Amino acid sequence: MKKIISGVTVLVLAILFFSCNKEDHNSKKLCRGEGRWTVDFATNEIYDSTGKVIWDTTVNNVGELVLFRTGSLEALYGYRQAVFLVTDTAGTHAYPLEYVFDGKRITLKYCIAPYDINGTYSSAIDKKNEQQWEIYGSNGNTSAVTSLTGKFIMHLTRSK
Amino acid sequence: MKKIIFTSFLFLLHLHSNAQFNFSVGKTFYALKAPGFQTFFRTYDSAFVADIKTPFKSDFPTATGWSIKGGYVINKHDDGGVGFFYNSVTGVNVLKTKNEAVFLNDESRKTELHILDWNTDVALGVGGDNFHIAIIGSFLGHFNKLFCSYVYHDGSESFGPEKTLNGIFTANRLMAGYGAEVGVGIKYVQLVFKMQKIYKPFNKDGSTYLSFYSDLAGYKADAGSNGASSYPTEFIPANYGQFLADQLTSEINNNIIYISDRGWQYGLSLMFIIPGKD
Repeated sequence: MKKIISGVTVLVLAILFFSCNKEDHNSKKLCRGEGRWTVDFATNEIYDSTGKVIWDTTVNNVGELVLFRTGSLEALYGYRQAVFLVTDTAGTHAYPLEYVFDGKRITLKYCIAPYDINGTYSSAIDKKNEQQWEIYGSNGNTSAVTSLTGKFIMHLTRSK
Repeated sequence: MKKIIFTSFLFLLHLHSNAQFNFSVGKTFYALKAPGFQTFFRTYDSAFVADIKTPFKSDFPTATGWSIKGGYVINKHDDGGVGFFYNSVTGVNVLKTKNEAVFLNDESRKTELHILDWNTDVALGVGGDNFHIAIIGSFLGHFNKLFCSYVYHDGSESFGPEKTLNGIFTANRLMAGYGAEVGVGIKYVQLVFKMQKIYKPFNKDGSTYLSFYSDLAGYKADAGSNGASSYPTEFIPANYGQFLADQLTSEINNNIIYISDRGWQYGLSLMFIIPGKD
């Protein structure tokens, strides 16, 4: 009996050790499931030197981002394929793009949708059903101490 | 296929040996010294001496984390006596430490080092029913990741390209360790205290392929190829002042940080021994 228990324990632990898919480890939360995300809103904020918001604008229901696991032509850098679906009065339009996510940063590129979503974002919220990506703007030299001058926020929830 | 072969090997080894399977979980501390980062922290503080409220500490503080390991133990002794003890375990240590410089405007440069060690330890010593004491030797696959971010006054943590040093820099290297461990407890559960010195077993000056901290994210490669004089760096510089003077030749001048951390690792864990053959 003891031998059976310990044998089963060996097998379970070995399976646990080797069952992780390293390739998808970083993008586990973002890519789990079908990868359809609704972009609820996108906000652009501009700050003054004290950090106070002096101008902002928000667009609701920006579109839907469909993320695939399939690698793109730039798979060497981890890029995968995606489609940005935008609905207007003429119907729904699909704009292909590429994305890469490493747990902290998301880069979207080659999207030619009317609403520009290209860029490298920092992940502010990384949950199974909710994501918030942000691009920060600061004045002056990229190596100097500077203040936050603007922020572009994109909030996504998993599509039902 | 390799996983299946390895799993089968473990299973067969277990069935056909006198060894007893064991696994352990515990807390790990790593009092590391990282010379490359010491230089970076010092030169960064110097570069921003007029703007800094709280400078970087001179080195990373002790990294803390957890470990989980499994393997085989042979503890041959008479009832109530003392005998030969052998333990071979494989597992992971997951450790974190961070260092931060805060500027006068309450924004900060944050460096957070994550260390993942895949290690195999072999312990050799003496043991009884309720204790063991052994010397240990180990090899570690040292997978380090430096999360270098800029934190704005509103708490937003940026890894984006608007700051040169932002990024996730990884470096890997084979390390080694030696030390000792002591375990006390009841027959099948022991509280184990372990301490071991971690060091680089060969090529101590560094310069091993992939053993320097690099961030090869695609957007950095794109930015670097357009010839700009300042763009998100793919390498963490050792000497920040030299990097500021000429970013483009910094890498060529070997102004980069190799994995060079070393120090004492301490662990306190619970070891569960699963009885094998009677």
